[in-house]
Amino acid sequence: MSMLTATSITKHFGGLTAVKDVSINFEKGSITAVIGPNGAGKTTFFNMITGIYSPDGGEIHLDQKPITGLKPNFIAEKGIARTFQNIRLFKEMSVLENVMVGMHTHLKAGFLGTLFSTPKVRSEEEQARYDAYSLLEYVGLADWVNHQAKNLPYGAQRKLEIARALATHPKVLLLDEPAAGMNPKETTELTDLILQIRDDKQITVILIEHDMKLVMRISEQIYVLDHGQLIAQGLPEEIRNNPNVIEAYLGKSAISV
Amino acid sequence: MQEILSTLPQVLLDGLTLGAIYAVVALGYTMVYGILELINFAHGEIFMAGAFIGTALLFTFVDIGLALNWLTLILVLLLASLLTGVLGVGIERIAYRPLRKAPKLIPLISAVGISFILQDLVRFIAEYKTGNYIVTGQTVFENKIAIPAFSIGGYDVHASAIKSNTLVVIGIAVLIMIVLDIFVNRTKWGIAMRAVAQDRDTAALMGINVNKVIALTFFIGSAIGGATGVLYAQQYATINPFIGFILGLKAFTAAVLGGIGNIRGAMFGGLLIGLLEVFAAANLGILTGGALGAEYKDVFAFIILILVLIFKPAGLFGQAVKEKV
Amino acid sequence: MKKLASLFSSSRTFQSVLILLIVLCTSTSLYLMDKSVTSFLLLLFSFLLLYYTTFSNWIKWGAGALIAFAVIPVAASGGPSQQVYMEVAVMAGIYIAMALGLNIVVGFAGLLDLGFVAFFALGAYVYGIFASPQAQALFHNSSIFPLGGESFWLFIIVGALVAALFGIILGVPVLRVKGDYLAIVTLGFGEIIRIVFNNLDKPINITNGALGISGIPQPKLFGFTFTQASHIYFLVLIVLGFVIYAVRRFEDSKLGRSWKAIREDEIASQAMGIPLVKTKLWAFALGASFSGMMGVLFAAKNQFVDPTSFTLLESITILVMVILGGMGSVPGVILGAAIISILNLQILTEITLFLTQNLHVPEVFSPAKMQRLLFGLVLVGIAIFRPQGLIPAKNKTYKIADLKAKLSKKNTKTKETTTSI
Ligand SMILES: Nc1ncnc2c1ncn2[C@@H]1O[C@H](COP(=O)(O)OP(=O)(O)OP(=O)(O)O)[C@@H](O)[C@H]1O
Ligand SMILES: [Mg+2]
Repeated sequence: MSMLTATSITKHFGGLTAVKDVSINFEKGSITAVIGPNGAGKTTFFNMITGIYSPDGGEIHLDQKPITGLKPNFIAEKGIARTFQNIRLFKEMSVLENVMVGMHTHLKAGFLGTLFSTPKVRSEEEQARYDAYSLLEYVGLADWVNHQAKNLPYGAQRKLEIARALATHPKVLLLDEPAAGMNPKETTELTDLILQIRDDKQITVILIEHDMKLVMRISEQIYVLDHGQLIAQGLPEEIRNNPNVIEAYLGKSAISV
Repeated sequence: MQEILSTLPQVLLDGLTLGAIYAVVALGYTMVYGILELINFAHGEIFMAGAFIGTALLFTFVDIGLALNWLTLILVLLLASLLTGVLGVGIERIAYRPLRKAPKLIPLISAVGISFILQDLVRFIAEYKTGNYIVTGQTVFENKIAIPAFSIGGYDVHASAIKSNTLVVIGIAVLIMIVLDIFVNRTKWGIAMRAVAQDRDTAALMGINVNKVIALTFFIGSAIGGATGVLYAQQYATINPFIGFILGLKAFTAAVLGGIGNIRGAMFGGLLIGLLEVFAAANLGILTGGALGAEYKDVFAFIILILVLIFKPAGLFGQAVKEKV
Repeated sequence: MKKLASLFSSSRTFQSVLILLIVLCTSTSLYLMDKSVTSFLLLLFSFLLLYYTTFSNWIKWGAGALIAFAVIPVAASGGPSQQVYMEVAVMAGIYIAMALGLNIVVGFAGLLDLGFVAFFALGAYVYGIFASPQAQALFHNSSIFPLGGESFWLFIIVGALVAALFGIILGVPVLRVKGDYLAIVTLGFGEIIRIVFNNLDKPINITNGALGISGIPQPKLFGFTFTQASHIYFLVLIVLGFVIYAVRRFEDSKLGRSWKAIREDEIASQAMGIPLVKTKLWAFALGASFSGMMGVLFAAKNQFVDPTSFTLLESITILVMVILGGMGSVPGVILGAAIISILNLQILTEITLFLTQNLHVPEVFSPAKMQRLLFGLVLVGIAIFRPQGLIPAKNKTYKIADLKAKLSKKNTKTKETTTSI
């Protein structure tokens, strides 16, 4: 069953076509990788799905319902969460608060309830705190609860972004280069975490990644973008040996597969 | 209609003069915003400082017995721009450069602070020297050129008058704009400025001394702002330390209207705002049947400002730029 | 000095003795002497010490309330300058509440508002117009108007609502613009409001123009009229207490977190499901409502309002309070507002008086005239050297052990709900 579908979506920036006529169907509960050389349009693709840019053409459906051009906060509410390539944490806030912000759409506290600190609001807050804490445990950041997000080591910041995204209870989780800047040990942990997220929570995971070892290990389907166009798709082995893909990488950039 | 038309020549003349002043001040805002993405609140005060420096210089010239003619005016303009240029560079060095990596709110606050400091320093000096912070200066060109009344198509048009100084203001303002345009587009330093405005890091990698370019931007912007201050004092004779703030705000509107960072746009925006404001001041009463008078001309200008910022934040010609994620 | 500080933080006995001593000495000297600004200031300083003690929050608040409600008014009542001190305290309280309101906008939500005083003006004029004879001029011979001093209590709420409403009306279009443009737009709005109030004596006389509205009634309750600053003082304390309580509630709530998230990163906040404009509107409205409330109090205290009380300088003054104290820090902003308002109302005038009368320094040098310079220096200085302000904002912290313990207890009780995250 398909969870998320993009139907020939396109995005221009001035004269540049960052994403051109791309159609991808993501199956429920699958792990899919979107790869491609630098500037291929991968992040732009994510930005359109999450509503940060609205596509110039094409449609996006979540669970068969159209979400094209909705504002990012509505799309988040509908069940798509993401992390960012250039980490975007709430730097001055504590690690726990970062995750609690992720719970925003599920908290019901209203204006008056907050002002008068009703028992309902208080217990909701308390519950949110525990949920946030247990998510931090889940991604392995339990010891950092009270630290400011900006003081976390780089790898931990990437994990915090994942915890924060999970706090929105997503159906689909988009990870933009989650392993960037991680050492091999952290990357292995991350690989396990992603698999675990999918298995525990039945979340559909889509990731952009340059680390081919990770990509080959966990993805069930791989899509390759180059110059905004989809040039290949298939199972890891198929992609590994696809001449178009090899040319896209080796011909235009120094990254080797 | 008759009433509006009859005063139109005078309105156009006054609007053009004010617009020329706004345009040159707007250049300073647009250059700094283009390069630092900072609203330099202090720019209005640099303009004001220019007005006071020019006035002080002219007083000194009179004291030492120099005749006031176009030569002295040019001397004053040059000296005042040099001083305000240095002032601008100093402000950048002290109050903005240490904050380049800080959250955006912080340099903005620093800019507001500088603006207040300058207002009060000038007020203090003026009050200390003259006993009053409102100063009426020497005017170099005092004669007026009359334009007689005439009528077209059955409408009577009232007589109007141009101060010869008006021509000086417009002439010099246009000269400044032309020279700046050539500088930015044709010279090595001008191109470096545009490069830094577009992408500071890449420009640095290409071997451009970013700090020097930014300092230069502040120098030029402040120098021409200061020179405009001198012209303003010549045109309107009476100045006070607070003229820069509101005028700066309107000039900033002009800069946004023309597309912030866009030098030619700023010139256009300035002229437009100037004309609109003078037109509103002259005709708001007539248009609203006496309900709102000239005292609402600033409200009118602010409403334009707010409307522009809300609906046309990229200016009349520009395209909205999206933040890269 | 360091030793003293460490002694202070380590020993509660030392803390209590020190504060008790200071409060006793200063309040007695304040009571006995005709005029002693120093002891008044030192007495206020005890609040700061209290904040730094290690007692539980209940004790701190209790002791603070005791000093504010009992010690200060009694101590000040001893001499002829009683009303002077109370006047200063009232204004300080009004400014603290406003600064806390602005702190929501600037400190929590990260929106630079340079026209904040407009909401203060709205509150002041709403009460001024409807409670004074001005209303009669407006609604010819209507028998309801003027409403009089009994209506003050209602107007505290009306003032808050009207200001909040204007905050929303202004915010709906304005909060879409980029952060730094917002500063300009709000600045423009502040000026517009002032110019409009200055000129709304025609075509219909609503605000009485530049002359201002006089004859605004003082608050009345069960036949008692709050005529003196020392009466208004208690009103201000109560309202201020409510404001502090409210800010504290919102700070660590769903809404408060959304404000801070938007301040840190708008795009990431949206991606977490936070609606930008709506969240910013709440900040605008709530901040404005505090300001509007204080405007009503201000009008009732002065019995007079005119546009000169609501200039750009006022807006910047409130901003300086927030920046100096520490953006986003409630105790910081209270301190910042107290320092600036007391400086403004008392210290600068005292120094000026001393300089011009005793030393015959020319009037140009009077520091009371140099507010702009002073505020400018504070803004630049803080921006460069201490952007987090005097008392930096702190995130709420939790004991990990508690979280862990409660979590495991919960897990054993209701297994599914917590693991389904
Ligand atoms: N907001 C924008 N404005 C203008 N151009 C943009 C914008 N966002 C992306 N682009 C351009 O679109 C193209 C695709 O960018 P995108 O970030 O999607 O690439 P990517 O595949 O994620 O690359 P990388 O692997 O480096 O992250 C690039 O040429 C980029 O410069
Ligand atoms: Mg990318």
